[in-house]
Parts: sequence; structure tokens; C-alpha cells
Amino acid sequence: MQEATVAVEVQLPAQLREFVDGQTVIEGTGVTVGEVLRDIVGRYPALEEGLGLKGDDIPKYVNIYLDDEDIRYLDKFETSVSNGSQVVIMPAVAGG
Amino acid sequence: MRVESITELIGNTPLVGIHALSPKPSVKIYAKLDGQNPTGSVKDRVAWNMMRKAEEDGILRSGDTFLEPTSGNTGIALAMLASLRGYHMKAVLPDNVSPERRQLLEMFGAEVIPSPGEEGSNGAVRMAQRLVAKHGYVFLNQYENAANVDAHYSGTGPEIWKDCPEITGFVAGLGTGGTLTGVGRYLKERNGRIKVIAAEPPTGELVQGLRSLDDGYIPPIFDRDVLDSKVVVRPAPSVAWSRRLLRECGIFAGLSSGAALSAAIRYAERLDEGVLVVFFPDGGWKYLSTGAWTGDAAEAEERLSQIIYF
Repeated sequence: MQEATVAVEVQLPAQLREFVDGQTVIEGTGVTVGEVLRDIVGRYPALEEGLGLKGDDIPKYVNIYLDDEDIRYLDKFETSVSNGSQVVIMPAVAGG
Repeated sequence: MRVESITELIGNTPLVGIHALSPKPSVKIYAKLDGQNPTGSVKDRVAWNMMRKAEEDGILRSGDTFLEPTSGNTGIALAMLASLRGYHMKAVLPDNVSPERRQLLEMFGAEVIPSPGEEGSNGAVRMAQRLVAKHGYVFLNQYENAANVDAHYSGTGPEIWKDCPEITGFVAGLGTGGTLTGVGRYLKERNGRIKVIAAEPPTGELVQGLRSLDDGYIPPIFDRDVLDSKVVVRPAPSVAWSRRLLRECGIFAGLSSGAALSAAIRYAERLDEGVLVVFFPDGGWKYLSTGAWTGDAAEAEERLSQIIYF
């Protein structure tokens, strides 16, 4: 069964807003997190470099969450999205 | 119990059932209360292990000055040990931690060097690296020091395994990654089916001072592969679970403990059965000023969104 393309909100950190005309939340469509991000990058090409996207790897210093779960431990960019899902991008930060 | 030095009281912390908070009776939840360490946090283990290793290696000698970037707990632990063993300590501390953390550091004799809060712990690490390069201070560096992971691999992990060999999942907050890496490795070597879950705070608005995502920081000691899942836990559930712990279990734990518990509950909801151990790195004392237990919850959540509490 073909999964449905849905529109998903993506929340961007301060460091990426200059690439999307200052927006903090931006909508993208797709079946997977990767497709949603590619849809947004298609409209804001500078975001690709800002995010450090290269190939299929999630950039080292970036955490991408789907409904609060880090997609590195789901199916990475292939993680399926559904109606009402929320994608949040954050810089990796340490504590201690 | 009778000991000759406070350092003998580091580690061997209790594991306490908090099953009343489990979403289902077939999932048991135990909390490892590391706030019961001498300075009130897990970091006594890390600080003591790093200091002993540095002394053995001849890196740290009586009268030396060492410097450490810290969001609080590691610095507090190191400051206490430094005063015991005759070292001078400088702590690079983001200026947006709770005031209690700063007070405790100064109380134990550390000199606090504030770093810009909007750069988070990452900014503190970078400032520490610059100061070490310039002044030649001894640098234990919890983010890169294998003795951090080893404190958990040889201490915390075996303690959990001894007290709870039926464990199926371990849940802890992610700061340096020392607890998760050390305990996770140890437990998985004992039983490869044990799952390791990390909880982390939302970092977005706290670190607006970082210029780009390349300014992010992954502690070199953190082994991402040891995790099976990582979830972000926001201030609201962190406060809510800290309150429930206090009222329903009598446990006064810090806010990152509330965050770890929230992640454990989320995980427990998906299980048919299991035995989870949730790691509580400190008690609530250092966060009283946030009003997390005493005031309006929404106001406490707002305050938490402005400070580093991991």
C-alpha cells in the first residue's frame, strides 16, 4: 500500500531561520521526514547548506525529532510521518 | 556504617521502586537515587574517578590549578574534592544555570568564570579550551575524559546489575553521555537485550548565541551507538513528573530526573512487561528557586526554559 503524502510542520532553530526568511515554523509535504525536508529545501535552497545536508546522513551536530523522538534511532530520513506529526530540528548541546 | 573519609561515601546509591507511577502493573520501574552522593549528584563518581586517574598519571599535583567547564554538578563535585586534596579550581559556568549551582560551587571554594548563557554548555567548553591553551591549567575535561565513562562502567553499571539483574531497560538523561555510555555498555555486555533510552532537554531557544549548527557539540566520550532511543523532554512534563515523584513516592529529585522519568513512562506505555531502571542524577535542592514544586507550574516551566538544568 502506498503511504499518503501529508503536510507536516517543521520547527527550526534560531540558527536556521535566516535561510527561510525568518520563519520559525515551516510546512513541508512528504511521506517521510527526508521527503518533508527535501520539499522545504526545494523552496529554500540555502537551507541545505545551513543544515549541512549531504547524502543520506543526518548531519553530526543536528538532532531531528519526529514527535519528540530522535530520528537517528527510528528510520533516520526514511522515518514515516503522519497527519499531525511535528518535526523539530535542534542543535546538539551537551550538559554536565 | 563508619568510614574515614567522605570519598568513601561516593557511589553505591540505592535503587527504589516507584511502581505506583508505572502506566501498567506488568512494567516495574526502579529509580537509582544518585542524588544521595556526598555533594548531591552523580558527578561525585565522575569527579573522583577523573581526579584519581589524573593523580596516578602525574597530571595533577598538590597545589595545581585546574579548570573545568560545567553546567554545575561536575564543578560542585570537583570543587569539594579539590578542597580536600589541596588543588585550586576554576569553573567555567554558563550564566544561566540556577543560582544554587553557582552558590554551591563558590561555597566549596571554586572560582567561577561565567560564560555566555546563550551559548549553553557548548560556549563553556569553548571558553575553557581557550583559557587552558592560554594559561596552561590542568584540564580534566569531563567531555573527553575516559575516566568519566569508566566511573559508570565500573561503578554505576555493576551496582544496577547487582541490585536488579532482571532489568530490561535503562533510562537516563543525556549531558556528557558518560552515564548512558558507561552503564549502557556494561548492561548490554551482560544482557544484549537490555534497551538503553536517553532523555534530553529542548535546546533550541536556550542556545541562540550559537552562530550555526556547526557550533553544536557532541562530547567525544558519548557513544551514540549504545542508545536504542532518544527523546526530547520539555519543561512541562519534567515539572509534572518531578511533582508526582514528590507527592506519590516521597522522592525529591531534580528536574532532569523528572525528564528521565517522563521518557521512561513513554517507553513503558509501549511495553507489555518489563523492568526499567531510571537514573536520577540529583535531588531537587538546587532547583527550589525555579518554584517547580512550590509555585505555579506554568511559571516554573517558563523559568526552566531559560536555564540549563541538565
